[in-house]
Amino acid sequence: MSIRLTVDVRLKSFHHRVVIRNVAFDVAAGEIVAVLGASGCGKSSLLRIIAGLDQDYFGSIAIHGRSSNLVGVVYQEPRLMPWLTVEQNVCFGMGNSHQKSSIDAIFQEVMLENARQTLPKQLSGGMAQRVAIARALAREPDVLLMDEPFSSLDVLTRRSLHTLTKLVTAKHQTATVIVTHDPEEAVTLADRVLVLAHRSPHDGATIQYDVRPASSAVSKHEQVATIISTLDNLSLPTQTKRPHDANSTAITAGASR
Amino acid sequence: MNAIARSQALPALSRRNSVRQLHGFRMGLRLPLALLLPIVSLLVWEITSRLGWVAAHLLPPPSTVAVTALVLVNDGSLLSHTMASSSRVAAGFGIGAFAGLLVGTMVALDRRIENLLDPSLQAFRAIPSLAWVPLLLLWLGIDMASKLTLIAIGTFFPMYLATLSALKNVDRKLVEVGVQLGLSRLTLLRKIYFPASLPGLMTGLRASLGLGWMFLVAAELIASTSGLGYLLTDGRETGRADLVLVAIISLALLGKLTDGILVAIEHRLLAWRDVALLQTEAK
Repeated sequence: MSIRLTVDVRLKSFHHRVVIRNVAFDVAAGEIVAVLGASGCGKSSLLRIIAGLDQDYFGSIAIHGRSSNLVGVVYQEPRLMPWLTVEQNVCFGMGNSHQKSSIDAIFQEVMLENARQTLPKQLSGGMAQRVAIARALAREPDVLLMDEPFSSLDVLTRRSLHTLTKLVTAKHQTATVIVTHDPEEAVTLADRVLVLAHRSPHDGATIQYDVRPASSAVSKHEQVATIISTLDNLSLPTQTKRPHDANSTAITAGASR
Repeated sequence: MNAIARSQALPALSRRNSVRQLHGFRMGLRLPLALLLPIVSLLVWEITSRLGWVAAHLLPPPSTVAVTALVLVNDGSLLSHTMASSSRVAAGFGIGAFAGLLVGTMVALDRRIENLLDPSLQAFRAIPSLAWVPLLLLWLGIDMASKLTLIAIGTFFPMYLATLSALKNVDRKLVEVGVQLGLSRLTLLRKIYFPASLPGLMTGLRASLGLGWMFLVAAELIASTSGLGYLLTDGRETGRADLVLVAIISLALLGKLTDGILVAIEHRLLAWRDVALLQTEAK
């Protein structure tokens, strides 16, 4: 698999407080990487940097794209323009350049063919998030970023959207980065899970573990339990555990090596 | 059997019809309810005036006012006064509201322009607009220009404030979507800022138009030979309260009509809004 996204954020600070320090990883085409961490550890800041919404940092973001180098973003809330129909939302900001056939195909993928002329106020939470995914995909992005996109949805809707995310990542060969605070979601959805945490209360967050659930022989439940215990340990104010090397660490069979 | 059990026992179609009938009944009640207060007031007014409880030359009965209105309609003078006033309001409101929208947008979008203009505009806003009248008469005379300028000043400030407030309160998250999609500043304004601030802009337009009518009367009362404001002055000077009342009622109807047009446009443009209904209908 070819590398599509290279993230190398050396330093991000906010009001003289270091938020992120030395976070570097690659995402391949068709790969889903989950960024996991406790609230306030800098996950969303990292995503904003990759999305190009925050330019105030040291480091670099490289997208090894096909031609467009576009980034599609799905936010925690659908952020649909309430005055536009579903179809207008999906085509938002594309001008008249979009191919009708590709838009039709996206509507089929997200199963919203019958809701194209509906206003956002008439949609359920799950449907609205499907529209947000369709909008992100409509420009055929190289990178798909998702910022806790399913956190406000019920379990069944969340599962169906997990399936959809996997499907569109594989089909469009996007490098998908999903930020979440739910270890179960990270393990279920992602090919790789990065656990982001602070080494000390005064330092910025960095990658503490790089987990590959898909390659593991152990059950998902065991992996979830491992990550939860890892997060518990990492969130202690005084850390007694020796931090692992960020880029080479992989947890398999429920243990780190 | 309680109400819920009864409604469940009904077939689906008949239940739907009942809901529709109830809705129609409530809608049908709206007009009589709106007319109730004016009709009762007219009746009380007619009776008190006829019985001589109030002096008829100060408050002529509604029937006399109606006859005066009919006379004015028949000789065409009411129409010509109405047209004169309406055209002044339309022109003054158009200039004032457009200027308010334009300046409000510039101030909302650029901090330097805000620092340059807003303090002075807020100071000008504090001046009662009628205080401009002597100066406008001195500078522009008693013709159309002074009236239009006064109405434009009156309608500028509510529109300016509404635009400023509406644009500054656009949801940052929606703007971020546009920024992330790489929209230009002008496209952001056209595709996100203006549509998102439309509810506030419509409120500003309505407030502006209301003040437009108010300033029209002020302008026409001071110096005019036509218009409903002139009719008010004429009625006062000739001691004809019926003329004054015809002018007042005409102004009320015109104000309501023009506001109604804006409300209809607002409902059409803002059908996308997902708002809570604060009022509850009587069960």
